[in-house]
Amino acid sequence: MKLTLEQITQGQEEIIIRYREMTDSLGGLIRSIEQRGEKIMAMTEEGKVLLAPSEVLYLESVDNCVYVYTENSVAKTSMTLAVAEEAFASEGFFRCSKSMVINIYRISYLRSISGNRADVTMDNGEHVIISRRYVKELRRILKGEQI
Amino acid sequence: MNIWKKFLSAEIEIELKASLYFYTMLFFYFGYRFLSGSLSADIIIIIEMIASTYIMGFVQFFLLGNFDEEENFSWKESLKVFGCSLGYTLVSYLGGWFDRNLAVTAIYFVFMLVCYGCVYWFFSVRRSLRTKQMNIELENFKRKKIEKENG
Repeated sequence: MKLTLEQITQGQEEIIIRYREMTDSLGGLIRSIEQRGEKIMAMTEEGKVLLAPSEVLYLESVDNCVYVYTENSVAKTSMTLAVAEEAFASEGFFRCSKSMVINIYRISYLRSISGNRADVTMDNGEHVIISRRYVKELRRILKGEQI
Repeated sequence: MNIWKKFLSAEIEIELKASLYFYTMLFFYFGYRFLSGSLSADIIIIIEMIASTYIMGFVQFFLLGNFDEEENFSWKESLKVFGCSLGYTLVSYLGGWFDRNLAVTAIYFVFMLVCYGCVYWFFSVRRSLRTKQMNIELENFKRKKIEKENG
């Protein structure tokens, strides 16, 4: 298969695949391209991984590095929290503090604690404390007032 | 601006709390005055009550860790309740709120202990209700997604 890349200065970006016959590998490539905006690219010890938003429990920024936490692994990503929050808001990504974005769909339990804060239990049993200000926003999202 | 917002937030919370305890004091004071055969109240005493609840509010919030909103009530919180109730009782005695009647002052001390207990219980119930409500909202939120995916 020949790969040709052409840089353009104007006009819409597009990918054209010329094929004689649709094969499984070609189908896989097309699916991968179609889903490219819906995955998070990250790096684990084993190498690069593409994580679906539904797999992600939360992202955390530590020392200017963003880490993605799933149920079984931790991976480092170049995506910033702001980008993750905006890109995957419809997937339930919610900024719960300056250094953390959680996936609302991966919350198993919410508990109101003193100071109008909330203790969030994620699907893997980890606890995240959300301050009053963010609890207010979270509740607005849960009620469907914003996403 | 952030410091100002924090200060304002703390100030509002202190004033809300001060109002709550002030009303309980007023209730006791009015009850005492009524049972003593009087239908009037001393405005100086009322001002002293407002001032004492406001000052105690600051003490509770900044020095005593806002203990009446705590989830776990241990001996530390009990000590703080005892201390604050005693503080209010001393002020009431020095200010002559109950004509320096020791029996009434002692009852007032017990009353304040009960008030603190009630406030603690109130916040506890409120948290419990909020927890329930938040989890209902969470389940509804998740269910909407499943319904959307299933078309």
